[in-house]
This record gives sequence, C-alpha cells and structure tokens, in this order.
Amino acid sequence: MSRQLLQRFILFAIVPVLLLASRTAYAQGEADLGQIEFGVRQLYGNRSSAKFNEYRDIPQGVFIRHAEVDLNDLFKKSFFFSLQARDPRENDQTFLISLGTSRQYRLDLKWDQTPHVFTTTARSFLIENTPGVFVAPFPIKSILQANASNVPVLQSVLSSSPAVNMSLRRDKGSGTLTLTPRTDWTLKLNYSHEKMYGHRPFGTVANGLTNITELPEPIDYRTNQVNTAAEYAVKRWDIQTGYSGSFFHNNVDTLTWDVPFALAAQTATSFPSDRGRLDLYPSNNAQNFSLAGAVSIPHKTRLMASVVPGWMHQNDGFIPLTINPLLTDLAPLPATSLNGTKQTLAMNYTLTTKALPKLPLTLRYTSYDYNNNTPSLTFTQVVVAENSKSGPVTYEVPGYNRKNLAVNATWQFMKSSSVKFIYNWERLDRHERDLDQSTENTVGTSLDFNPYSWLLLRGSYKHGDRDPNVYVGLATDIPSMRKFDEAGRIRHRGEGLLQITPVDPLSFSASYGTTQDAYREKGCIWAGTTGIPLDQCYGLLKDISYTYSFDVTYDPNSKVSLFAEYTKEKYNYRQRNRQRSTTNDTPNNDWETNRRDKVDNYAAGLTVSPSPKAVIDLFYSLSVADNKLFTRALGNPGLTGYLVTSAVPYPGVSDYPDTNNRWHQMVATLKFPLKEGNLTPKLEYRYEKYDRVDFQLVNVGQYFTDSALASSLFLGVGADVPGYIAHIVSASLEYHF
Amino acid sequence: METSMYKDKPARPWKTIASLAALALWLGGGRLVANVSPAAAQQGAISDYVGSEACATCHATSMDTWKHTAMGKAFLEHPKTDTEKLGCEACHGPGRAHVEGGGDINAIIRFGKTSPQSAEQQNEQCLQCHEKGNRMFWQGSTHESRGLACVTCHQVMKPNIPSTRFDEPLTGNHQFVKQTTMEVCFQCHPMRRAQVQRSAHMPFREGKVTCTDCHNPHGTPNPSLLVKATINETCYQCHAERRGPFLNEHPPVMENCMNCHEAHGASRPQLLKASMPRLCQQCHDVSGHNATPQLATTRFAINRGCTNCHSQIHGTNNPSGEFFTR
Repeated sequence: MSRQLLQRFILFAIVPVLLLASRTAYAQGEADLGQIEFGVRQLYGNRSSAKFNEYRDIPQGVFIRHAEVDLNDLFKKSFFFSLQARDPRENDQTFLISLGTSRQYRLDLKWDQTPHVFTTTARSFLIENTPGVFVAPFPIKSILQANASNVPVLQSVLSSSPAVNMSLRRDKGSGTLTLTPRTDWTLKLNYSHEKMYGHRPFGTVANGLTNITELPEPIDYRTNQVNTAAEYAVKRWDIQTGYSGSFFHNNVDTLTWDVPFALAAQTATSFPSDRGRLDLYPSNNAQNFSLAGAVSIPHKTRLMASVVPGWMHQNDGFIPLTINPLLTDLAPLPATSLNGTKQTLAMNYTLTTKALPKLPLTLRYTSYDYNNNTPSLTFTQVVVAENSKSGPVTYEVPGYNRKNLAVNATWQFMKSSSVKFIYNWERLDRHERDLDQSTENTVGTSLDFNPYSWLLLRGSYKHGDRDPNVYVGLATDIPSMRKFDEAGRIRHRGEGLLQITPVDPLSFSASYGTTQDAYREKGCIWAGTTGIPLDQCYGLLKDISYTYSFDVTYDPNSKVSLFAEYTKEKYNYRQRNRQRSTTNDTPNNDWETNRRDKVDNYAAGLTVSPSPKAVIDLFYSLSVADNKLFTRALGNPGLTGYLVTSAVPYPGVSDYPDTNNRWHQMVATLKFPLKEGNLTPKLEYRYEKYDRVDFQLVNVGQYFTDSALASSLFLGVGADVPGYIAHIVSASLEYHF
Repeated sequence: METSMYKDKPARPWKTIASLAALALWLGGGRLVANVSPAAAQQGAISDYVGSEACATCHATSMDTWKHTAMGKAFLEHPKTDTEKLGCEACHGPGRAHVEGGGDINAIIRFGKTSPQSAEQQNEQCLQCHEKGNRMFWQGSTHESRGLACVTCHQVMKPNIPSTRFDEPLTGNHQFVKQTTMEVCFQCHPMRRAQVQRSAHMPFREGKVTCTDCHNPHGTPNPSLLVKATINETCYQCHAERRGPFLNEHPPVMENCMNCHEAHGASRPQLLKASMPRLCQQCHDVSGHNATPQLATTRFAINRGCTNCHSQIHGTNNPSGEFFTR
C-alpha cells in the first residue's frame, strides 16, 4: 500500500470507525473522545518567497488542522488508544498514535514530515543526469564561453535556465515501546528511520580557485537510530543503562560537474579541467552505551553519576585525487579509506547534600574525552582544484579532553529566597591545535529573592578567566595563530529577572542580560610606538551582548486578557586583522572591524469574550534586525609598504552595507462556541510580512562578478530569499466529540 | 604515519563503570532501611486520610477537571501503588485536619506561589513518584538549586490548551502551565522567545522542534542541561552527516558548532553569528586572501561568502580536500 493510500485509509476509514465504536460501546462519561478542526483556507498576496513556506506547508483549499481521538478503557480496563494528526495530507504532516495499558506498556508510533525550502528563485542550466552528476549542455556552454565578457548575453542565457527545486524534506518514522513490568522497572526501546532528500545550494570551485559554479547539492540521506534503555528505580535507588546507535548513510557519494567556463591555457604546472568532482559527506555511524545511577544516602545527601562511552566510525572509500585526466603520474593514495574512529567518554559525578537544611551544597566533577584515533595520513600529492598538483599534505587528527570541577553552595536565608555561590574549574587539553592546554576559573553568585508571592527577583553574575597555558607550533611565536575559541578570555556574564504581580490580574516582568567576552588579553603583546599600533592581538577580540525585555499581562476579568512584550538585543564585536605579503608584514597594515547588531521584538495580544458565544483573539508581533559592519585601517598610509587600501588585487577597507530584516505577524481569530462548546466555528485572518535587505544576496543572480577580478565570471543559482506579504484567510469548524 | 597521543592513553570506560557500580552498592546497600523519605514522613496515620470522595464534596469543579487528566485517571481509576491509591491526598497530604478545620488551608499541602510550603517541600510530593527517568539528575541541578517548583512549569489539575502563537511537536500531554513547552521556558528565558522570532531559525515556531529536544530542564549530567554530553553531540541528533570522522577535520567545527552558529535563532542565513568573510576572519587572519579586508562586492562576501569555494567547511573525506574545497 502506498503511503498516500495509507494516509487516506487512516483518515477516512480508521478514525470514523473508532469514533463510532468508542461513542457507542466505550463511552467515557463526560470526557471528550477527541476533536477535529477542519475548514477551508484562501491565500492572498505575494508569497513566492522561500521564507513563506520555509518549514511548513500552507496550501489553499480544504484543510484539517488537527484531529485527535482519545479513547480510554477500550477492550479492557486501563487500555488507552490515542491518535493525533496535524496538517494531514500536507507537506508538513505529523501523526502520533499512542496505545497501551496505563503504566504497563505504551507504544508510540510517530510519523513526521518537515520541509525546508531554501529558495524559490534558483535556476541552473546544468542538468543532473544521474544523482550527483551535473552536465552542462554543449550549446549553452559554447554561448557562455564565447560571451564571457558580454554581460547582457550572459544574463539572457542564464536567466532562461530552468528552475531548480531547492528544498529538502525530512520524513521520519519512529516507534517507542515502553514497558513497565513492575513499578520499579522500566524498559524502553526506540527505533527511528529518517529519510532526508532534496537539493540545497552549494558552492563549487575549479581551476585555480576562480571558476565558481554554484550547484544544487543532491541530498539523499538515511539515518537509522536505535535506542534502548532499562531502568531500575526504588525508593532511594535508581540505575539506568542504555545503548544508542545512529547509522547515517549518504546515497550520493560524490558531486561531479562540468566546468562551463572557457579554460585557461595549459602551462607546465597547470592543466585546467573541464570537470570538477568533490566528495560529499561520508556515511558514518556512532554508538554509545550509558550507565547512570543515583542513590540517596543519609543526611539528605544524594550521589549521582553517569558514564557514557561512545564510538564514532567512518570508512567510506577515498575518491581519486582528481577527475582531470591530464594530471597523470599521481602518487598512489596511502590508504583506500580512512577507517576513522573516535572514542568519546563522558563522565559525571555529582554529590549534592542538604545536611544543613539552609546550606545546600553540590560538588560536581565532569569530564569529556574526545579521543581521535583516526590515523593521520600523509598524501604525497593532492589536487585541490583539479588543475595542479601540490603536496605533500598530512592530515592531523585533532582531539581534546575537557575536565570540570564545580562547587555550588546555596544559603537559603528565608523561605523561597537564597544566595548561591559558584566556582567552576575547567581544564581543556587539546591535541593538534594551536594550544595544548588552557585553564579557566569561573566564580559567580546568584540571588533568588521571593519574599512575597507577588515579587520574584532573580539575579546572577559570573566572572570567568581563561588562561592559555601552553601554545604550540607557530602559535608560540605568532599571536595571530591563536584562535578566539582557545585564546585567553575574560568573561563577565550577568542576568537579572524581575517578576511582579501587584494585583492578581496584573503581572509584570523585566529581564536584563549581558555577556562580555574579551579575548586574547593574555598572551598578547600590547605595546606601541608613535603612529603605529604594535599590539599583536588578532582575530576576534571583543564579543559583547546586552539584552533587555519587558512583559506585562493583564486579565481584569474572565472576559478580557491582554499582554504586551518588548525585547531588545544588542551585540557588539570587534576584530583585528593584518593584511600581509611575504615581504611586508608590519603592524602598519593592521585593520579593524566593528560589528553592531541590534534586534528589537514587539508583541501584543488581546483575548476578549464579548458574549458567551463569541471569543476574539488578536495577536501581533514584529521582529526587526539591523546589522552594521564598520571596517577601518589602523596604519599610516604615508609610510612605505602600506598595503591596506592600495594593494591589488584585494583592496577594500570600507564599511559593508547594512543588512536588516523585519518579520511581522498578525493573527485575528473569531470563535463562536456552540452547543456547550462542543462545536466551534472559527474565522481566522493571518497577516505575515517579511522583508530584508542583504547585500550578499540582493544582486546575485545566475551569474555574478567580483569587483576585484572584473574579467571573472561566477555562476550562481540565484538563491535569493526575498520578502513576502501573505494574507491567509480561513474558516474552520472545531468539533469536540 | 603519525600516531595520536591518545592512542597511548585509551579510555577505560568499563573500569570506571565497575568502580561506579561498586561505589553505589557500598553507599546505598546498608542504608535502605534506615532512611525515611521526607515525603513519607509527612504522611500521617491511616486515620488521617479522608479519601478523594470527601475532597470532591467541596472541590467538585477541580475534581471534574482532574479526573480527566492522565494523572487523575491513573490515581482514581487504575491506582498501582499505595501512594496512588490515596488519590488527592497522595499529593496534598492527609486531609482530615483540613476537613475538620472547616477547610483550613494551612492544614494541607498546597502548590503554587501562595503555598506556605517551600518549593523543595512541594517538589518532594512530586518526587515521591517522579524522581526517576529523566528526573534522575534533578537534585542539585540548575533549576532545583534556583528554587523552581515542579508547578512552576507543570499543572496536574487541568489539561493543556492549544496555542495560537507557537505550534508544539505532537507528544504526550505534559500538562504545562502554559500552552506549549516553549512558552513555559520563555517565562524565565524571554530572550529565547525573541530569538525564535528571528529570520533564521530552526523550525521552533512551526512546531517541529522544541526546547526539550536539546535540553532537559529536569537536570542532566551535561553542560547547559543538554540532553547529550556536548553541544555537538546534541546537534548531531539531526545533523548526523556532520559527525565524521573526516580525513580533514576543521577543529573549531569539531569542538563546538556554536563557535559559528547561534542555535536559538539568528539574523543571518544558516544561523550564522556573523556575515562572511568576517565570521571566518575571526580566526583566519594569517596571510593571503583571508587576511585582507575584502570589499562587499567581491566573491569573498557576496552570495555564499567564503563557502562559495570552501563549501566543505564542516569537514571532508576527500584526499584533495586540504582547503575544504573538495
């Protein structure tokens, strides 16, 4: 039976039969047996953007929004059966069937479809003959090559390319069986199979890293997941053990494409290729076992521990170094496949005690080993862009080990109010990175103050100091090799939350948060001479965020309820870089970028019941994001060797254009509950508007050029995500039976 | 061939597991009888209980609602344990003093903000039955130590009502105080509510993913209450293709997805924290084209930015993938 037939069978055969049977033979007193909401929907507006249906499907016409059947005491006492369906027969449908006997066994069967539309504007003349193989038709290729500098011709040819569907869908079926043979035993078995398929935009390059051709990357993944767990829990004991296995398979191993550009002349070292090939994600698997236990011991003390060893493995065969037949005499590969293996081990030991009732104390030790046992292979030659050999290349096998020791002590100075003191020590040992070891100490405190039922105040502050202990390799001498995620860092993090309910129907809350990271304050050389900045700290230096929010809700009576929210986020970043040449590497060529991101969110809602037979819901929200990016040179252009603004081919100390986006949503719903609420006709109007300005996408079509390389042509798919306006009108009936 | 330093120090999980089990047996074995749970200590003599029917006399409306919830059905219709057979008094404690006191509200355990009992005392009633499963690490967890009560998020007296604002993945009913999991979490994490409204987001609003797919608010052995040991292992639940191992690993990708992505929502495509090429230049500032500012009109900035060419940035198994272009 096809899936569609099965769905129809479920919808139109099983459900009515169950309803009828349950209504006549297994009446449940006054409880609802289920509900269904169905109706008709009409769409208006310009909604062709991928943003409109990014993760959903809203077709016109008849729809079922939600259906649910909830049967109890079926066949024998305590047996239950429930079926839920959301958006059946739509691209994003979900079904959940649950059945079992209360606390003896339970079976959950779920089917879920999640679409993901990347763009609806993509076009490409490259034809996918077989999965992962893209061919450029010869006539088009000829036109492109003959008119490489004739933009109108290119535009005309490429814009008439056929549309490409750039969307994915995840179809996931899962089943979970939970057995409770005794109240102290729980056994669980879960299996899921996910199919992910479609295409997404993907960049490729060939021949000297200039022939960029954007393609639809074929996605055809299968992931099987098995989870088992067993738990034995009595009054003071709890032991859990489990196994988890995830098996990922990619049905399309490689991406091969015709290079549509006119090839440069062959030289002694460069052999331009008319085809390109790359390796897509290899199939892999990951498995782990887990053992966790908790025991309550005297003096209100509890010991908890978990140990989770895991393994990741991948052994897909290597593809040849290049598809280019002109490159001959290539050195043999050192192995036919990677046989990559990583072993992980996560451990946690926690001791928490309330032996002193007002002074709870928690000690926690955690560690996570990420041991990369993959062989480090050396390739005598590689071909990074199909046209020339280079090498040798040794691929390192990075790994790390993280250890944390934390102490939390709380002083409960009054009922529902406490002060907490936090200390955390972290040591991170890395392998095959620029830093072998770092240590971070974090101290902090938090306050939870709830003196009255109408007042709650929460606040916390943490200060972290990460010390890069041992740099290795080039990073020992070259500060710019020190990456922000491993470099020294001073962190300040503070949060506050205030909730006030001065009178019962009115509540107000406000929050504040900030995270302020300063990187590389340790291990850098901070010095300078007149006119030339000499600090040697590069990359991301500051990452600072501030957030504020205000909410108010007011429910003056049972007929009126309203709320309003406002949230503001601000993000400031600063990074410093240096433009270098092999003969000119001075601080005078330093440049700096400051990013300023701001996001404002507004929302308000109102629910009114003017009469018992009418309910009006109104909701509006607006999210506004505005991002600025400023760049400036730090050196003195008057000094010899100044590169930043004058050098060819990469000029460009200038601010980037602002990017911003807005997303409005308004929902107005009118309900008319009839027949004691069992039958509710509903009218709904939804308004959505999305607009954005993004310099990265706005001028990109099926071709684009690089202002620094005027003669070059790059082929894209035109993956734009423009704004949209949508009006969604629906009339539906909600029936509780 | 180079050998990993970790090969000399293989992890020995089984030794640790055996040690853990032995320690747990030693700590708990002889003490089971000696301990009396706080919740059990509150339970009075049998004569202190009046039965759920007595409660219904005055609380008919609450009883009518509760008996249709999963918990109500279990307690009233199919009780399996002695605690469940107590019905209302399993949670509210013996009711005789409350009844004989003419409804004295201080003679019974109450829940919520106005309760005279502390959050810990309220929670003990729930933990009588629920201190297992994914609540094993509740004690000492962030939410427990900050004084959250179970009823801050859950209610057992009423079924859920659907939300018009956010969809929720179809699951069993968790009887939340708000309409969806997300709205429960947003009570104290309002910034997350703002982030899921951003232009780049995972399908939170559409009801395909929710907070508890990545976090377990009841406590976990992992950082940030994650359901998996690390951020990356959490992301691999849905993005298994990025798991590797790869021949050429990109170390910051391997260590932490959130070096580049903001999982809760971002203003840039692919949940990126910053636009390319600046995102990549946060680390890559040594030489060549990655150390130069690049105009906004170059191939380094427009369209896919750096990944116009370096599309295999999450790692590659291609021998020629030295620069993640293959």
